[in-house]
Amino acid sequence: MRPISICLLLSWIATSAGAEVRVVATLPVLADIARHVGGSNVTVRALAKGTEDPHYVIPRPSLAAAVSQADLFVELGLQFELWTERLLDVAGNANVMPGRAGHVYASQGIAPIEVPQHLSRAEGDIHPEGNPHVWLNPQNGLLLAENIAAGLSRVDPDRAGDYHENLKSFSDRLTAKMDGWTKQAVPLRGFKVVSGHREWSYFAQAFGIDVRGTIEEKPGIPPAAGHRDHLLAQMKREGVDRIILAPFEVTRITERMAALSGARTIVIPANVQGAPGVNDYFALFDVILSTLLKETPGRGE
Amino acid sequence: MKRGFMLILFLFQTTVSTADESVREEIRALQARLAELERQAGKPRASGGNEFNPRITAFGDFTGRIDNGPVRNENNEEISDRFNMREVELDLRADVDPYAKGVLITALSQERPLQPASVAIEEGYVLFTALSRGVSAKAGKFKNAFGILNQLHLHDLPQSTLPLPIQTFLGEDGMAEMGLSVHYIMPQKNPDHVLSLTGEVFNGENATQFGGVSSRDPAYLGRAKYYMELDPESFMELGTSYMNGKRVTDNVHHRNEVLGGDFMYKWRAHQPKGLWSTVVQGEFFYMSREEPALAIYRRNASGAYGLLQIQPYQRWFAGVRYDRAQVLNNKTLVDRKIGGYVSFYTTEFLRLRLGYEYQNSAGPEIGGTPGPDQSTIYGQITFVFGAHPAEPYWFSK
Repeated sequence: MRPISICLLLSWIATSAGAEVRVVATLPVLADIARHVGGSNVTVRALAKGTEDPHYVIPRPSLAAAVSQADLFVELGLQFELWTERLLDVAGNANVMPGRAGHVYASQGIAPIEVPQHLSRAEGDIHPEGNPHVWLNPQNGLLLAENIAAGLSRVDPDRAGDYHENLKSFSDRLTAKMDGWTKQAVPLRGFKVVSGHREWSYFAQAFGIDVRGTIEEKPGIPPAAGHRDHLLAQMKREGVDRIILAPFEVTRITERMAALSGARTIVIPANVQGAPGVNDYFALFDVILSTLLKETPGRGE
Repeated sequence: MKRGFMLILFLFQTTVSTADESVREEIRALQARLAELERQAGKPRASGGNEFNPRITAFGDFTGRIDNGPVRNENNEEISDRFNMREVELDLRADVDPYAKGVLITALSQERPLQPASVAIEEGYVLFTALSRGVSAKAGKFKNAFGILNQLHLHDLPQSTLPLPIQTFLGEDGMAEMGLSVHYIMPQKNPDHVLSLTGEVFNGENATQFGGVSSRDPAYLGRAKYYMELDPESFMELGTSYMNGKRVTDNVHHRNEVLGGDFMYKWRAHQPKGLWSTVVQGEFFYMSREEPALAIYRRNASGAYGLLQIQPYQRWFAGVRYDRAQVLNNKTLVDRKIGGYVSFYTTEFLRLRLGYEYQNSAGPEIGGTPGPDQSTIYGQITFVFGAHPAEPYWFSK
């Protein structure tokens, strides 16, 4: 009897020790970074799809079910994912509630830009703590990864060394890629564009494109006629002839704006899995940069 | 001479290079310092909303109606052709402690014209979020989990009015009782399929079903919901609900049961070029009630509604709904209603709606005088301010 009990105990310990940490991340980009940092120790699920607008994800029962089984829940923070509260409420998973070991605000420590000086709904709805699209500057990717690694180490301290090593590999690779991207992006410096939503500010910070305005009047607010006319006049005055859009921003409103301005539309992914071939964080910038360079005559590779 | 010149040039280059390196070092140090300061400045911003004060949201629901004839409510007061600040709702919610959240929703409503507004607790409950994986529980007063639309507040409805069968079988404003509710999400093998179960026990005092008198007999409710993701842009839900309690008439307790079925299909485009979204939804109700005083002993009645909503543009929604409900005390009589609506959201905080409803009432009408035909045009303005509202996940997204 005793040897059997010992065998069962050892088997249980072995199984527990080898158990994968279940990570649920709100955004595909966070899920991908968690995969890099977690390596073979984790299974990762992203709640939002790369092709959908991450501001307006529907908090469906399948997402709540995923959260209920998570060991680590990673959200960006900065009040970006307003849809997570409902999920956390019904998921009944105390381990991943904010403030607990299994919860990560991945943007912790990143200083947001475009923080409203006057906080009011009159300034738009969805960027109350500043621009939350921080992952579009690869330098912020390191901080996102550090926060995720810290979260993994909290819930799985036995393999903290693995996460530290994986973080270093990710960091080294990102630093090396950053050098390449910076050189590649030199022709884009000062390249004037208009965007659909105010999501490319961090990308502009990193690579020097010049986002002159947004089709949205304010974050989350579709353009009224006055804003549209003002933007059209500005584009004409400043010679802006390119509009950059994430795939989910290609709507009748943005198409009409392109038609009225005569500007060419460039569709670029804003998230991992946001377009074919954008399978990870590195590919995201590879594709964004190559698309922008290809689509900008006279500046191409 | 040439050697001397080369030496000077070398020394000059070395000096310049050293100076360059020193400047670069200084820039690097400053950049590091700036990044550190930015990190410190940014730290509190990522902490999310966990303030001590409750988050407060106020909802206003203002309506106006034009009727084809005089309409009176159950108190014989005329409610036709007038504006009405139908409801002002205050929603407060906060973490109570690490294990629970508190929710309090009070409503000031003026359902009777020329009368003072009444204050009611629409919901007030503690939500336990740390019980076990997939389990959450409520204790207090809450909207009962019977079907789909009964769980929504007036301002969240896709139309201006509740469907007739909900008013007939659950009450004029739906059913919200005091008791306990437990919700369980079953562990899933397939991430796209979810089965969730809800069990409730509450005071069996609902006026429509249980006589509206003080009763020691609790009522019980069970609900099962099966959710399926059909593809990345669409999902479907099938649900069934069952409620059982005792109806008290003349101090005699009779068994009363209500069975419900519901379905909902939602499609929403990730990259909208034509339609943005579509919702198809329906609910069915069947009531069986013991009536020992009657020769038939058991009375039953049924009702249903069907709803179609489309979103042709980002901020525009339009839909139609058909209701049918047998009169509880005489199932040979049937009330019918058909209506359509158009809603425009300036933002998700302000909605303008125009609707039309035609009702054919065979029995005493709910919320109006008996009459065979009634046509009403509704205008509605709903506004929200304060913290971000928790919204139903299928209509306005």
